[in-house]
Amino acid sequence: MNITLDRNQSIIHKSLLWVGIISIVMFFAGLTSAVVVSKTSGNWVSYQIPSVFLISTLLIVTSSFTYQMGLKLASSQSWNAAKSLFVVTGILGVFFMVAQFYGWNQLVAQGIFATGVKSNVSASYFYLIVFLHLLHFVAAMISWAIVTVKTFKNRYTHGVSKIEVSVLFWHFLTGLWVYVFFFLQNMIQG
Amino acid sequence: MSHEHHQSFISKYVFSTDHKMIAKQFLITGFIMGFVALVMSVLFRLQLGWPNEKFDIYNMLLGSWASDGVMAPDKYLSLVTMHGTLMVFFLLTAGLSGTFSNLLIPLQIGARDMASGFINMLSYWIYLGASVIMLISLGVEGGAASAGWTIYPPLSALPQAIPGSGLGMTLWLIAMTLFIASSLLGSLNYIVTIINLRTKGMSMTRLPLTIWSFLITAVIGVLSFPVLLSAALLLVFDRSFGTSFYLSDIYIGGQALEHFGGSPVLFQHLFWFLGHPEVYIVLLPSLGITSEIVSTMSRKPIFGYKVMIYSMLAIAGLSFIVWGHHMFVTGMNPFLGAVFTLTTLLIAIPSAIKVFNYLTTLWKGNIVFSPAMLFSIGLISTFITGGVTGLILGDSTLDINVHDTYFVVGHFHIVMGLSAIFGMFAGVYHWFPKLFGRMMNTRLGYIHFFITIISAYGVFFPMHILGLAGVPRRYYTNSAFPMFDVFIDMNTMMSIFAILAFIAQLIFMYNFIYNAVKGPKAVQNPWNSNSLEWSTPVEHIHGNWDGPIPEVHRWPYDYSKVNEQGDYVNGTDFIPQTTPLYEGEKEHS
Repeated sequence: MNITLDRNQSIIHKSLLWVGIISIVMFFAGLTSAVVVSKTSGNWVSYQIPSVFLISTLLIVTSSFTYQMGLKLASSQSWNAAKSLFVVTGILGVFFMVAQFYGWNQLVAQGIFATGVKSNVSASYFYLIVFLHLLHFVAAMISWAIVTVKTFKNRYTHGVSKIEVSVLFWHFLTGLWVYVFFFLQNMIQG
Repeated sequence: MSHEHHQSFISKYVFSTDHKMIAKQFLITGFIMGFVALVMSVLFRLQLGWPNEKFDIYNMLLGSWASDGVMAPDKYLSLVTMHGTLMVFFLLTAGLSGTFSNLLIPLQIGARDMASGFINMLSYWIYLGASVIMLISLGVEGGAASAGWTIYPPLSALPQAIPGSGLGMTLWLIAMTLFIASSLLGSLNYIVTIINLRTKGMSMTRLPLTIWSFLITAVIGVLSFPVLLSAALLLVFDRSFGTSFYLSDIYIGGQALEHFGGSPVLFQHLFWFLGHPEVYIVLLPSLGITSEIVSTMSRKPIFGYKVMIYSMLAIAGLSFIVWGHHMFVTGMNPFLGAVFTLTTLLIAIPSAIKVFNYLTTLWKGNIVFSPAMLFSIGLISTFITGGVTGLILGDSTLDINVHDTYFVVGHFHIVMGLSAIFGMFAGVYHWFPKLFGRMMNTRLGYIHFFITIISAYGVFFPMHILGLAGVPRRYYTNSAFPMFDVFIDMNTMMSIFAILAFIAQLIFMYNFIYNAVKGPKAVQNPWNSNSLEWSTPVEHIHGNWDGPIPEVHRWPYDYSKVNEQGDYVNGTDFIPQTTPLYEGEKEHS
């Protein structure tokens, strides 16, 4: 049952994504405001956040740049360069995820646990919020994978609006991570 | 564009992506959930009206929850928890918005369907999954969730706390997580459809107020439900993974738990950040429906169209900064309490404006007292009576005295429960021809309305008296408190009214089911209405209009419009939105 809607599908896809982004923002706003309330309730333990999370921040920011550059090149039909940048973006994305897991390992090595008798809410929040961001980032990686495979199959020669949607979601998750990272760093180390 | 194509039974009635069919799916599922919740309310009203009496119906319906025909106290808590959950979320959120947003948004804005039929279908099926899981939770060992519909920790966070805190609570959380996902998908679709898919000429200020109310409701949902999701997620981690977000210094059976450092008040903050806007998620669609029906059935333009929109926007905005009024007794700083009192009382202004506009629209109207109109007037009544007691509860100094008493139960059942369900009934009576192509029986509608409004007030009005006397809510029986013995007869009377209200809903169900199948065929525009949905054929077709989508030339409230000579502009008392302006005619601004 395919109905051709009268308006441009790409506007609808972007609108759906924007409203989705707003709801994700509220989800993380709920979690980070919970951090503020918990910190002011007392029993808050401060600790040092491993520097590898700073590296992961640089990785995700760089990946946003490469994805955006790839989109720009795709828009101007420079497909070979665009494909290369898409691949670089994906590699940076994988490195970002690996860095997050590595950071968790370092935290465990420091004796900072997510749950259990030895844990503190300050640690539970850090693990949980980073995990939830990662979960959304997996969705971004899936959308990246679809876009990249289709680019290699030359499916976007008629228009790049679907790539734009994927790039927008990627940028959003980059921005979200930068916020989450500096917020948690400030709350936990501060 | 041709819409003639073959559809299998499965694609037409089950996994449908057609907004009209999805609306019916939401309506019927919502009604089933509402009926279960209604039966629960009768069961616990029997216990409250005749405490510790034996009832055979308990044996029949509750089984082991009521051995020897007497309801077990902990199961009473399960019943009130599930009654609240099913009514607030499954009937009055998904059932109401899901039905009327789906039915009316494409039809009233002039669109072939929702922006994404697939997301729409997904929204319904996730809702159905949530409903089934919630119903299954009634049958698990230990019983359904019992911590109240607000599921405050630690009762909800510790599986060993009370019988209902075990598997029943786990299933509650799973069902609600699915429910939130369904609600977000639905809201996403509603917003994007209204913004992007309006037909030519359908400017935002030519939209029916129903659409404005659905839009604002969806925006509130998108902003507030994710916060409830975050609260539920932290709760799941506390329950199952050993974290302590909400837990600290708890002893059970003399033994200290390992949880340390959390705060149960945090949950209340997160819950009520959704919980209060949720009141308006439930209420605004009904207010929108009422605006439409009051204008159509008074044969008059809605009074203060733009002010109605501003009022809804103001209510929506304020709803996000009042959550603290649910928490005045949590040890809140009195200054903060005063701030929440101020923001709460401010909501009275746009609410009063809306009531004024309803009444002014009715004033000197050529009123058609259809069942839909009666329920709309019923809504105006309950919105006033329930709203007035809201002023008392919104004021921290007064609220502290009646907190957790029947005063609160009476207030929110009238202002939120009755108003929302009256709006929903009004909507069903009014758009039944659009849903099923048939007409409901008007006489049965009158009987339904008058029994319902009298018995509903009979149940909930005396609750204010109980509350002012200090009778606490959520108690299985007050027989241990001799000072409340004077209220035994009043409680019995309220329970009789509850049974009467239940019987009235059986009449409605008969009217609904019989006429959906065998009712007299509807004509295309049975209420002589202006809005666009009545320009579609009576028989549902995929794509809504068999031909191009009509263009819109005016707002939807041109009723009884007269020219300078005092004659109707077009010879009748209504001018459909599709009618171009007549020569010399000024458009309403």
